[in-house]
Amino acid sequence: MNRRLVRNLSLGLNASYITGLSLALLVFYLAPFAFMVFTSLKTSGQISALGAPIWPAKSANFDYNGISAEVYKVPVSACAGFDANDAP
Amino acid sequence: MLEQLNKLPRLPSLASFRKLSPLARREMQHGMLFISLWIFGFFVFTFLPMIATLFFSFLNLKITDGILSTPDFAGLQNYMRLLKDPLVWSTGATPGSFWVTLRFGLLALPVGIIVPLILALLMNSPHLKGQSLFRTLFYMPYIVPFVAAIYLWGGMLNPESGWINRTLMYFGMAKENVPLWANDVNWVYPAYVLMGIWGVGNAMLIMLAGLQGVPTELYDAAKTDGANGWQTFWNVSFPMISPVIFFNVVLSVVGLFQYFQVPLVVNQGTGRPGGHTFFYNLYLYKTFFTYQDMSYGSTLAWFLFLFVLVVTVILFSTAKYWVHYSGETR
Repeated sequence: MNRRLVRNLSLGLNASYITGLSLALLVFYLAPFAFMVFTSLKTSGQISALGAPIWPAKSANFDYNGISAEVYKVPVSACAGFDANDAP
Repeated sequence: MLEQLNKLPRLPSLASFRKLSPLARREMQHGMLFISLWIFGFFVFTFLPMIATLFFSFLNLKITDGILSTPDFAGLQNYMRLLKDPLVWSTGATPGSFWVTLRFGLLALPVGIIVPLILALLMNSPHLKGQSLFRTLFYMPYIVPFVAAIYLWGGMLNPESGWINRTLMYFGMAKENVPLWANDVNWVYPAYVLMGIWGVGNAMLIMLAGLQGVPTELYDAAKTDGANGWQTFWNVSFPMISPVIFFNVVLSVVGLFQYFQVPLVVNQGTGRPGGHTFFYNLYLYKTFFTYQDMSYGSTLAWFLFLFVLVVTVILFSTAKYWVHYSGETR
């Protein structure tokens, strides 16, 4: 009984290892298909935008006085004269 | 190779044809009728152009001189030019197209054999769940049109927005250290090899068919002898599928010397970066169709044909040392 259990466990481990390895390879191997699908769903603006997410997305906008403006991330901490201790 | 050629079935002579029974004679006539179209096509579209290019290689024929102009007889001039052509042989900073092809081949050939072999071994494993699905999915990229696949990989390997570089940056590689792939002298061949790996589905299937043809008694015998996985592969699987590997090696070598489409699409056939993608076949194509120098283009084509022929003959002569044909005595 015990020997049978060990044998089944060993077979299961082998199957998990081989199938897992194949699956990992497959994910890398088929990634270009996902790239193709995602690219087909992107706007031309997103395709040429640097740092845009890899999935199809709209750029974040903010309505200010009825005008829709793009939101930019400004790395304040990297700016000259920045002091984290300054009061806001 | 001559022995193998001698074993091929031969066409009967007229005398033996008359000795055949009426039924066999009719079967042969039908067979001849069916292959005659192919033979006609081969003769008109392959054999005659080949002979024409051999003829052209001894002339000075340029389309730019006009179709009605009489070409001069050049003798071996084009062949002498080929032997001294820096665009073929240069070993400097801008390598000649022959060395570019050879250097790329030395990298791409082992990868093009080992990767499908590993995939075939995985797909043949009794431990793999969903074998049919995996086989189909690994084969799938092969059916994508070649040029579309090249453009797709161009996007994947884009230094700024490509997924490969974004993955590398995600895992901590600095932006200034990520490879420029097709625009970098050191990375352009690995980039081309990556694109090539995507099309190994066919080679994988051929090797898988070879692996499935290995008699299971041999594996049982190896198991009884206490062989481990590697010993079983090296002493049973590999010798048994060596004819299939040999077939793939020969096809790959011929294919590598005809390597052309990827550099033409990815680097627009310019040879950049630094002439490292100016493959021999690209030079041949440009000589024919851009410079319209039919004679020198024909000379380049004949040199390529003879070189590939010599390499193939050498490969066949090595076969007796490592290719195992079951049931055949040597």
